[in-house]
Amino acid sequence: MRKNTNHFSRQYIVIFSAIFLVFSSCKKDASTVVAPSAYSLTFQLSHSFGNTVFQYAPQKFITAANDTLSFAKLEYYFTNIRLTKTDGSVISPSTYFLVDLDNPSTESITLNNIPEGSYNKISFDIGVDSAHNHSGTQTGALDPAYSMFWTWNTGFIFYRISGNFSSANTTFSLDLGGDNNLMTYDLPTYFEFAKNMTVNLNMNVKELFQNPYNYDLKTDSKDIHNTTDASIPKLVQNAKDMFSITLIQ
Amino acid sequence: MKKQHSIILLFFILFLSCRKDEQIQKPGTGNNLISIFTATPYQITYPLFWSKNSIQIPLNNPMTVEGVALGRLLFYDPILSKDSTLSCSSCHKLQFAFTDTTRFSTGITGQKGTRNAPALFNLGWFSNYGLLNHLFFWDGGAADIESQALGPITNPIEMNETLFNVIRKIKSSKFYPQLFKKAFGTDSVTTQLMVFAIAQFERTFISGNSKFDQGRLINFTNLNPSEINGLFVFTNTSKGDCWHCHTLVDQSSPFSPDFGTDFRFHNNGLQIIFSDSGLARITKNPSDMGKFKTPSVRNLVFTGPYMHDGRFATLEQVVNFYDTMAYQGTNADPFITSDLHKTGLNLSNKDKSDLIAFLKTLTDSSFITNTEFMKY
Repeated sequence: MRKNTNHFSRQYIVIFSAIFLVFSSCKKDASTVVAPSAYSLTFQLSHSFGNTVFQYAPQKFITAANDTLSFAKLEYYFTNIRLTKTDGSVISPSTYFLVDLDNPSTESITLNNIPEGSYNKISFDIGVDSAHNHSGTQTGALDPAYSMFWTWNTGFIFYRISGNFSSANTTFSLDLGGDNNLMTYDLPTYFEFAKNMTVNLNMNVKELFQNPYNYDLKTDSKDIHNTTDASIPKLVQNAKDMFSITLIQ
Repeated sequence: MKKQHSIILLFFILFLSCRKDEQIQKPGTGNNLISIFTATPYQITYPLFWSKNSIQIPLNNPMTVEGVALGRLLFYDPILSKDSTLSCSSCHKLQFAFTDTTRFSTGITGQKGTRNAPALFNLGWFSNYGLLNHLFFWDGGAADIESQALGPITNPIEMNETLFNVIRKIKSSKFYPQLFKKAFGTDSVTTQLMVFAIAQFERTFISGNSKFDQGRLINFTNLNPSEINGLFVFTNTSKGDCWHCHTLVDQSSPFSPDFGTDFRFHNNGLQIIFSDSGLARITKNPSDMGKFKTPSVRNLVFTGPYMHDGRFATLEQVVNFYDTMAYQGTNADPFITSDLHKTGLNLSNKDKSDLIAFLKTLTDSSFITNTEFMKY
């Protein structure tokens, strides 16, 4: 099924590129027509906890608040990739991907026909933008069947992480969503794009639980299943430092 | 197949490319080539008085004869539940204006919920008048008719099925895939198209043919004196003052909605302790505690028991509740707590029975016997 998602999404990329072209061509005073190239840009996602590779249970990790955690699920929406060129122009293919660590193929995301040029920023969202968050029942990666959707309070779960904590057999389950909690990333970088390239992007899950707030599952919410829980802003703030580009080649 | 779709879609986009921007199909919003294959547009028949007040239909889910027919099959099909014992129609029965007669309906595991199954009619107008993104469920938790259906299907104490399983079952059926193709022009059966079809069927549930409606154009000369007095009690601010929330004969509106609901959320003072937070469950706004969507007063003779929790079995109990207004909690609607009604409506027994006589004129028997709504 998840393979299907990618398939769908790739289709959308092709279509969106076409729309982009068509739009550009219809503008009367379009100054520069951005031509898509034959080259693709692949995002290869990896996940760590500090300097250790992120793994599901039985592997244990210790947070800044000294909670011992093991994980059972990590799943999130990786959307609206925006590539900024050194001349300030932005390439923004419509991209909605669901990354599910139970399905490693979802950790590799390929954008086809990205225009050649010099790029100095990669931006994206974790979550679903307001327009799509309120468009009801959709398709592809946004199919509610992936269960990253609240059927009794229409809207997407942007980021889901769950597992056990504090060695005691107590579970935690954090589902983050809601327009106010969209996590937006702008990562400065530099690369010349004139061939197929891969961006290695790492999510450090440890950061979700620290910096600036030492998130403590013993006192902060350990179960979040709505958009307004008082602990959500802490997690969203912490998440700002979660991503880094480790390699572009 | 998908490649072919891409190509068709590309042509479609190219075709539209120099028209207005909003006509471009946006990826992810799931327009499914609806505009370029030929299904038969579904013509809604509106009651005379509403002929200029048509329902707002989502651009990506236009109503077609084929789509409505598919939705009708799905609505009555128990494969939407985990053990194939319940369909939408199990709790939304046509003979009771698409609700049932129990206080709380029973799910596949034998468990009961905490809210009364709502009646289903005139749903399309919620998009015209309702609260954006909070149109369905008692607490506004569903953004649109389409997405509403996902709730009962997946709720563990209702139909308790996963959407993946439902789609898998539909795909493996002998007849559904071709019906999806007829309705939506695509070979892919998706969650979206399933709820699109159900929503199309539900939008056809239009009820506006009661004695009240027949009287609307002839100054209610068809109502007897008791019913006329009941109408007066219903609309008079110092009497029943029902119409502020249960909108009827609103003179300020040129195409008076007459839906018997304002499509909004109110706290009617029913709960002293909020055992059900209502709209506040969704908004988390304390001032929304205890607010529920105003149910229509139409077809009341079919839709009991009454209130979000079905606590009142009879219309007499409902009228007595408002009449005595034993309200003691916080947050009640200003219409309820206004000086006029602080101590209840204090209606005479005659006014109360006349009010009920009037409410019964809102009965549309042609709705519950409409063969277009019945199981195939």
